[in-house]
Amino acid sequence: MIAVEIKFLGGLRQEMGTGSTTLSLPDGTTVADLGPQLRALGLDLDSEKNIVVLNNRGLGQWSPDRQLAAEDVVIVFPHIAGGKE
Amino acid sequence: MFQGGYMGKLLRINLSTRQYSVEIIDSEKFRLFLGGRGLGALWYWREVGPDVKPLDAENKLAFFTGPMTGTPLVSTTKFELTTKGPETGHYLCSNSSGNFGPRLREAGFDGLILEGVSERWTAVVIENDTVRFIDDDGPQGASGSWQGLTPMQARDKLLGQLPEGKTKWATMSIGPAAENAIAFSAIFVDDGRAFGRGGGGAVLASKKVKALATRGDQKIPIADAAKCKEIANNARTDLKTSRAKHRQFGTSQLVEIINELGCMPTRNFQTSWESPEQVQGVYAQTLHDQYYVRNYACYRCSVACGQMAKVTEGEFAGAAARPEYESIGLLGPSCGINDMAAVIAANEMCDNLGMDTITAGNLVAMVMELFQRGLVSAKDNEGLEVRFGDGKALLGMLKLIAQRRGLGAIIADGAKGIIKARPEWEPFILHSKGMTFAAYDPRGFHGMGLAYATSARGACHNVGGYTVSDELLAPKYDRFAVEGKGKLVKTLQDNRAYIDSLGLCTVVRGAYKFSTSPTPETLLAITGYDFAPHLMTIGERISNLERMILAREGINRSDDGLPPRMKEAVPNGSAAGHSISDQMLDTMLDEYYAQRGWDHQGKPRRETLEKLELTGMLTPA
Repeated sequence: MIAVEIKFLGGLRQEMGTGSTTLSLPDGTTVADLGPQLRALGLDLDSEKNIVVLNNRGLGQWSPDRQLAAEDVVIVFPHIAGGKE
Repeated sequence: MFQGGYMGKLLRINLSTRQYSVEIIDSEKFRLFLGGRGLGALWYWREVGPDVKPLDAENKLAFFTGPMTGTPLVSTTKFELTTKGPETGHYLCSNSSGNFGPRLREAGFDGLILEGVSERWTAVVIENDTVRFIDDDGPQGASGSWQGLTPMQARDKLLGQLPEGKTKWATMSIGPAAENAIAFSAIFVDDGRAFGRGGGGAVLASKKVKALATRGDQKIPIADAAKCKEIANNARTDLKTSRAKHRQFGTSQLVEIINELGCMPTRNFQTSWESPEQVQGVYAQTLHDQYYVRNYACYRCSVACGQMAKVTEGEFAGAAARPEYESIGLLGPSCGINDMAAVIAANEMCDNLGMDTITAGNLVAMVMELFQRGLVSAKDNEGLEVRFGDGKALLGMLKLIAQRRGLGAIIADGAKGIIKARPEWEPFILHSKGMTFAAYDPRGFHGMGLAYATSARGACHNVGGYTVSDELLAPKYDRFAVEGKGKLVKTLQDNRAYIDSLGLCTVVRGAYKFSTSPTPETLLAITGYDFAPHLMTIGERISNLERMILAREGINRSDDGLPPRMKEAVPNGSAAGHSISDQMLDTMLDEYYAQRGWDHQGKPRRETLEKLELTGMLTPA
């Protein structure tokens, strides 16, 4: 098993009730497997409402076959844009 | 052609002669340029020549609404300012929320042009089709003096001299910074929104106009009122869930996110990341838990993303403001400050002085770096040391800038003025075309570098394009690569150009499907005309017209640049080791110009202008 830390940033921190959680995943878990694991935590990943980043790059920018490793860092945050004009 | 959406008229006020006139706007202009930013750019092309200086009497200000401004739909408050701006010395477009745009439409106008210079300081009052002036008659006079007031004091004073009625007045006003011709002074709308960037405040002050008020009794025509009501209800339902966190935390959520992504300006972009233990002092959660008072909503907006905040204890007790992400990033971590109380106090001071928080934060951070490097000392600055992390010094420096004292006498003229006076300081100024960076370090998202370099008003995340989400969501992009960024930035800019012409807040555009593939129902219901297939072309037309304006003002490829710091590798955080070299920027520019149909120098080719039906429009009126 590998332990992968998932960080929740911005408004997701409050929605999830924590700033991070650790997922224990079987060896060989791939990028493609991560989405369902995150959805199981209650995260909406279907409408681009939230953005998932694995090691500084968007989750969809990795090969779906890439295997996750213990040192991987996953962050999830609301899809927001903005600022002042 | 249109059954609704437009009043069809423009109010022109000559401040020198005190005469005003009403002009008809022909529907062809609406078809080609939609409204807001598009109409503003067309007007600017025709009336503000390349030799006019920003504070010359010949410069003008135009305020244009869009077909959605003031309609019963949610968050339709936006209107656009167009003028020659003192921060860059070139074309400036800027948009604001608040009630002025909707009220101007109820007075009967899609646009307002101010030209000439008033002999005395004055306030302009527009009620339906009448215009009157309330002149400064000195401290002992019946109207009193307009000078020296904060934007909110000027608003309150003006409202105090106007009759009440069924319809409330909407206002615009400026502060002392504008009166002192600070290059990045703002125009405030009502009690808290602003045309923040580029120095529109100084232009209004150069006309000796301290404030404006408007209201009227006219109904904005709607082609299909029942359908419009249905769309409004659907949008409210959509926004209740899709923008729930935006309502709760506003844009300040981005502090934690952008820092984690390694592109948070810290210590004047010397670094792009701060440890969470430090920077959590300016997180949205901190703002919400310790300083939040209530939400603030613009006209008919159900999102109400503004976060009213107040400091109740400590050295900044009593300070109150509505800090947005950009203000927090640049008055906070970029100045080495991770204390939300100090940021709120600095934000409030900028509001009271009437200055743009983004450029003010950037330039105080630059002063802090000059102190860090020993290039200036307290004796250059009326005894004030301005060090990273010192909130009191930040406030002191903001005052010195607004009063043009100490180093503020140089800083007040903005990036271009500073470089002219002290060229050796240029390496420490983060800008493009004279406008300072927003709170995203492009070394962490290279598309932001191209966006800053090519934005029509100088470094800007709105007009230039906010690439961060696409550079993470789209599988084809790599945030640290240059490939594909030309097409991405062009698309974002054209999308934004038509959004800025609608009269709609960008935060809610998703609820109306105003994407790069917009759906027809909203504008069909408002105007009776199917704009949807043409909206991205309208955006592209506006982008090209703006580029023709800039080309006429002497802008070319050599101006589409980034500051030298971008060539230095980021020392820490998620973007560590990354930089943007001249060659990388050149590659992005080549792709961008090719996508746009511009030549190697960045000038639109004739066939591009013809394709966009612009050639006829660019002849003199």
